Amino acid sequence: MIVIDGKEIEFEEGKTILELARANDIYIPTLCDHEYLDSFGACRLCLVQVEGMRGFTTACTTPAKKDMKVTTNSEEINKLRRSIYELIMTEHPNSCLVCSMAESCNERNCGLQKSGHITGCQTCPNRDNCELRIVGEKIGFETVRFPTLYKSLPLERYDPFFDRDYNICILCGRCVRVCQDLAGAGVLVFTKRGHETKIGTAFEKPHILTECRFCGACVDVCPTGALSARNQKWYREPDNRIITTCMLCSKGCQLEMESKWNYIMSVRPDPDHIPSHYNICVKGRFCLPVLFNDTERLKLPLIMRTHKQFPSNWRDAANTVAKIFKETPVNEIALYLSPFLTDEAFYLFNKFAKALGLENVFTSQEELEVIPKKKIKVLYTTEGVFDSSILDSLESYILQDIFPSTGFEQAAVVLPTTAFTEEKGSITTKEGVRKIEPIVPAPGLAQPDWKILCQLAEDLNLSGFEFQNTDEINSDMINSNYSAPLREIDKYYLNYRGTAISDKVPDFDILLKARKNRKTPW
Amino acid sequence: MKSDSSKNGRKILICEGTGCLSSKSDLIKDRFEEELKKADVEDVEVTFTGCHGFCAQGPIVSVLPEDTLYVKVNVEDVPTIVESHIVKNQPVEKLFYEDPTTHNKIERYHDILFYKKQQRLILSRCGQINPERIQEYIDTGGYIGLAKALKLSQEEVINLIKQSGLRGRGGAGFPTGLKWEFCYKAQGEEKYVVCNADEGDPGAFMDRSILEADPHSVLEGMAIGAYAIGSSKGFIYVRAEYPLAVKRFRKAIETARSKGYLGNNILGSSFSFDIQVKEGAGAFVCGEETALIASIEGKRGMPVSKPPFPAEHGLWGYPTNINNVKTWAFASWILRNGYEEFRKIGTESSPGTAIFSLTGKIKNSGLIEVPMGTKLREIIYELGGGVLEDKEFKAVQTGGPSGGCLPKELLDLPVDFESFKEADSIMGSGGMVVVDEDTCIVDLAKYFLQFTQSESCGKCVPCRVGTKELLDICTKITEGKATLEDLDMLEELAHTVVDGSLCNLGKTAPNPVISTLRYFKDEFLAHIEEKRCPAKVCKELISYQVVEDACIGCQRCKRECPVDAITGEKKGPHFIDASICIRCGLCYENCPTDAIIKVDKFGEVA
Repeated sequence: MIVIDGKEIEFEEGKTILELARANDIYIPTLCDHEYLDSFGACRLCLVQVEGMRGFTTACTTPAKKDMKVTTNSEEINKLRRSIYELIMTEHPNSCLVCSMAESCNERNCGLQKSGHITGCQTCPNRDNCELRIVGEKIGFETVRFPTLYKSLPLERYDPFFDRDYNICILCGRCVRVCQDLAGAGVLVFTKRGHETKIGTAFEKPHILTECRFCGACVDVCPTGALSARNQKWYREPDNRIITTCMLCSKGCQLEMESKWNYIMSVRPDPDHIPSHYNICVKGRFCLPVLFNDTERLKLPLIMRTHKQFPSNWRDAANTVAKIFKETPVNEIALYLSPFLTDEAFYLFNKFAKALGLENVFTSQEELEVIPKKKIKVLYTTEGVFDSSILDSLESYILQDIFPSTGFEQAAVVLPTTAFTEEKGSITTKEGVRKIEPIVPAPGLAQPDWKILCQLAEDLNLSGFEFQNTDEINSDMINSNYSAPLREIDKYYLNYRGTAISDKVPDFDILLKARKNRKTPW
Repeated sequence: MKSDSSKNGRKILICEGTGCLSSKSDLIKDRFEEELKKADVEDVEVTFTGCHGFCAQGPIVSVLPEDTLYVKVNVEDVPTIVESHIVKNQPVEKLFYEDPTTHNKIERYHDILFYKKQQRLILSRCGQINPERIQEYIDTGGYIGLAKALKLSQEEVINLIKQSGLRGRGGAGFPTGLKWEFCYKAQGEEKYVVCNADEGDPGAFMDRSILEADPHSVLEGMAIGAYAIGSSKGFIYVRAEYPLAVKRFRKAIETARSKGYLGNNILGSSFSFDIQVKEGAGAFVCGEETALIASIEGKRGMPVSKPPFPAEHGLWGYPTNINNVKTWAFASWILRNGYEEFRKIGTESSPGTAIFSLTGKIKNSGLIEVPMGTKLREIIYELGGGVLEDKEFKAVQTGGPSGGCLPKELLDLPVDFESFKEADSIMGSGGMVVVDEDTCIVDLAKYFLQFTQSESCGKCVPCRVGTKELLDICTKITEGKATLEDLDMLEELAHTVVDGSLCNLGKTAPNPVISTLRYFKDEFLAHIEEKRCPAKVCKELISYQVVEDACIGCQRCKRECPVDAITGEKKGPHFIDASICIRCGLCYENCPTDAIIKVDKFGEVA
């Protein structure tokens, strides 16, 4: 039994005073504490008084012991807390917090002002989630009586993916701890001493020249706006949030995705999967939104008529493909199945090939070199082929992809499909079968691969393709005793379907170029 | 012709402590060997010792068996000493120590008040033996303590230390026996003992002297502690700024190993123990035990919260006992001489002796070992010989940057842990800096704050930001720009830093401010309300003036002035323009008739 503010609490050994207080709805302010990390005891805001212990002790580090009597909110403690908070605020722009116009300003200035230097809450990307402000409100912060000690450090914006403004850093150490303990990279450390203490890298190297994997863990745990993801920082509250699986490689990381205005806003590891190491890579964390939000996404089906491609509709596009199939002997048709297909799409393509007696089904780009030898005339591919010389021997190139990839200009028919962030389905990963959920609608008329195929199958009068949704396909798979194989995509694979990720994400291109001499880029 | 002194039998000991070495005492030793050879004198042993603790009088040479002490010896003096003292048996009076009060020349080491009034328990061998010869350590009672300990059980050794009442000499004064007991009782597959030799207080050099002069005493103490606690591995964390101490300690470890005092099955027992030297890297904060542990582990030296304490969860998570250099040396003394002998000295709650480094405006500066309970007055006026140039005593700053200033009203305070704490200071590691009427107390507080602010590890808010704010306010006061509100803020902030800081660096950093505000408030008020520095130190609050009657018009000051602030004709009185003067003091120092005076702003004459 332990007593906190007069309240009796049962407890198990091994918990700290802070953990017990939180479990019993007793509020103790903290800033350097974080659920992913071991306690640190640096911000000193959680100071409490324990009967029998001299002075004050931090609730986050003190193990609870039997018969302890703890006070968390005496007048003395509250005064000390406010003084410590004031000291934090001497180094952090706080004019918006103490301004008499703050309330009406918040009402009228609904947008943030994008800015390089953060001079107040209105120019801070973290305004809506600022833990510093929340704590200030809870402890009754009113004013800073000590002189300002703004650090005047240069902004650090020379690395790809995220910005750093250590002028508003409160040195809580969360980024250092997450980088050391969770991410295991040890890139961010405390440097220098005294008032000059600053978070940074060894020898102030840009992150691109360190072991930084750009996993974004530091950005996620930062309580202020000091660390911010460049492409995500100004969007404020998301419209929607889901949990889904990443399909950029076969690891199958569980991701939390957020969208705003029907664009993917941000990607983070699923917070409920508190991992033993930070389970997300630069591709998923930072490249994915830029890649799939790109304006050059294919939106309309295109049909080639006398050397020119015209936008069309699905009925005509499917008809055109069906016509090509009917007019070509089946041994002169080839199918290329991208490893990025969902299990359902992969299943259906195989079923389709079987139903047609189509034997030229390829699953790796190297296999496509037999196309000229085998006199294949029609290639229906679900991703742009990398070797464009293959196209020379074809009569019809049917391209199903999300971007105008290789051979796009020569394609007889272009079929715009969805990225995995725009459809439901399942994917066999190294961790087993996982589900994907849509976070944004498909651009234009783009449709999932399986749906396009079903339409084509209908035009070819094939039965067994009358599916309305992926659940029905799953039932069919179960009935046929089918389980999709693992179609392995290496975690360092640099393309998505027929497109190099670095072509669409400039920061990724910078990363790859800077690290081309390393064994792996991250 | 063979001289009379062929059966000389003398021993010449030359101090090779860091202080004397920096005055080239090694060349003095070489010269002695040369000159003795030239004079064809045999049977005189020339050897070097560690630090006597009297560095201001160095280089020091002593001659046995006469117990003659020669001070401020130059290489050129050596032929005289050899000819006059060694050959002709006439000691060289001009090189004797001169008592600063009586002005008498004193020949014998033990007649010098500075040494006579000391009770040198752990400093006893310092300056008396060659620290690199383990045999000399053994011949003076070395390793007897360890041999005795190994015949007792672990609990018996711990009880012995508990009964002695020994308290840690690193500054906190925690009962050593109790600390050892905690570590002994703690669970752990491995246990470690650590010697904290990161002596960081500016001006402190007691740990350095002991490590240079008598390293085996510390080594033996660590072995005794390791045996008691159940540890087989020890570390000594020495600051890298002590290369000679590192060298001597490494040598001591080697020779101890070769003689079986370290390593496996020490002295034929089942106890095995070895020590590794770990050098610091220039951070004061690494003297704090949890930061020290982090540093040994290869991490940045940042302290962590306690509990858990190192006795239960220390180096690499294992139970670890950390003690200061002097504490370990006392452990070996106590085991050798018995706890009752220790208790006979000092006070009830603080038995034994303590070492202080007496520095500042004092006539005899150096290391003194005195019984706990000795009055400050005795230390300063008898051992210390009084204030330099017989100026007015203002205060004694004790405990380094973590301590406070004690005014003359407290000169009868006995030196012990409790009495200093009540007076808003600490005994700390034993630093004592005497300041006189020419020291500005605000400037002194500012000096210590500059130190603690630059050494703060930066982890916790109150220390990192709080000490900077305290320093800025003190600077403002010394510049005459502060208000009374600033003084209130100084006081409040000082307590916030004390209450809020994570480790003792932060918790004690405001002590110089708190104690000076308590005892010297009027000096602060003079700076704030009157824009005046009574000690005439703070450059913004003083002025230099020419006393017309004393001025002979030699124009020397005008020539020295780097900013042309002085006007005047030859043979006529000169004038310093306060609006141009930068208070560099060159005119003041160079005036041949002392016609220039320092004035605190309101024209009060010096």
